[in-house]
Amino acid sequence: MSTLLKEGLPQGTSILLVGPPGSGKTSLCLQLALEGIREGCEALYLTTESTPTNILAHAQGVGLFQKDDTTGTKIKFIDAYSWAIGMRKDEYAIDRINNPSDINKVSLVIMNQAQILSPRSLVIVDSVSGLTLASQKKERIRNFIHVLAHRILRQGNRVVFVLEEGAHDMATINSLRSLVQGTIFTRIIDRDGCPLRRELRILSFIGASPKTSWMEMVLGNEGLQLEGG
Amino acid sequence: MSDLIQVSFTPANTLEFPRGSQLLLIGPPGTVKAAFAIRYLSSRLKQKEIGIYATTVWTPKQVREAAIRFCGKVRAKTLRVVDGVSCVTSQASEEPIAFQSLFNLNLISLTLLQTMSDLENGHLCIDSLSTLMIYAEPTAVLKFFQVLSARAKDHKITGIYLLEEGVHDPEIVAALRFSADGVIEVREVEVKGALHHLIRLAYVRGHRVNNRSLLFSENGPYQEFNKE
Ligand SMILES: Nc1ncnc2c1ncn2[C@@H]1O[C@H](COP(=O)(O)OP(=O)(O)OP(=O)(O)O)[C@@H](O)[C@H]1O
Ligand SMILES: [Mg+2]
Repeated sequence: MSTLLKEGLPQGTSILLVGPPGSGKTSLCLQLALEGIREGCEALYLTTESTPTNILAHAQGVGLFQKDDTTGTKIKFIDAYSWAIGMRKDEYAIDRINNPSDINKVSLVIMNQAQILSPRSLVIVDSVSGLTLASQKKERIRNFIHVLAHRILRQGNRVVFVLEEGAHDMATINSLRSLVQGTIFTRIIDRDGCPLRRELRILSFIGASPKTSWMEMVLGNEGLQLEGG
Repeated sequence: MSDLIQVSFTPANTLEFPRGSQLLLIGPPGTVKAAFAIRYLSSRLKQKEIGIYATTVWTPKQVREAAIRFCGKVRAKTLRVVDGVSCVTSQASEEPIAFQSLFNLNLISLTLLQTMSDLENGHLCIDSLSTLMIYAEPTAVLKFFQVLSARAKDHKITGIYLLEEGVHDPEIVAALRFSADGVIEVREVEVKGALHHLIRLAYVRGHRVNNRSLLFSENGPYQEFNKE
């Protein structure tokens, strides 16, 4: 199967990526970022869950890229993690966010960095839940996504907003889905005696007709790939 | 003329709703509603009628591209796209018709009324009431809907108003349903692992409607749905 980016995400779209913890959301985002960079685009990656250094180490550890491949270092990280736990600025971070719960500030930082991306770049917010767990008002989260999505679309770029499934009620997830152009769901299947299966399903892009069935995400020699459908 | 509304697919791929009826298009989040609405408008454009599409999620360019796919370049020119997107990011619109702000429903109303002032028998899609409810009080959106739909009806313009299911306060949804002439429903069904979308005209006040469900696909024609 050809690259996820080409198969799954039409140019110039806003996407919500929703799934339970450990279902492979971050891995998927990294794979998309790496593919974009390999095709000459840029990737801006806001992380709330780990330092850029650790994310890259983990990505390499699971085989998203090989040891001598420097693609990962080209991801432009915005670090919304280190400060909160009192760490120094990460060497791969081009910017950092001191107070992830100040959503206006977060929006500004992302916009400042997104503005200088080349066209067809990918912006990833991993995760919106991490930014908003500090009891943001729902209206603020919606507005954050609506505004950011359209700013990024206007520049001809794509954006992925990651959402932890368990961290929000269904009405919130639904209302956020209505503000973006497509949704990707991930899930884990845990059957007794079988290795864990991670799957994704792509829903609703106007004009594109992606397969709506669950497809398995397989970590192989060439990173994360989709199988079945 | 029969009062049985054809929701089924005619050879010209045209869905017909009673002229001037004001319909809510209700369904789960996602964009099938938008795709359906644009496709519906396109089918009317093909009949040399005029359509208005107010958009807050899809960019005007994406709406036009979708319309062109459905009805061809020439006909798509008669589509008036109202840009409700650039104001979200406080940027100037590249479109001739645009909202200034999503916070000001009076202005939005005014813009739409102007856009349809010269029309008779056209088609209007508002995508979506749900987005407006993020920016304004739901009760204000209800009032907006009542005013706009009354004027649209005056002009014999068929109105389709998109509303997300499972998002809003049930009371406001009930009030909207009560104020509208009818409801088009979208439902998701899973068949053999793939997700399909079913569309049906649930009811239109004062009309007997054919309300069987049709399978929506973006590319092919609508089809009867059978579970196999
Ligand atoms: N397709 C896959 N096959 C095998 N292992 C995977 C796959 N995708 C992810 N993993 C592993 O599962 C773990 C969790 O993945 P990941 O961090 O991408 O999930 P997540 O959804 O982002 O989790 P969280 O909710 O904690 O952010 C990681 O250790 C990752 O290496
Ligand atoms: Mg993660």
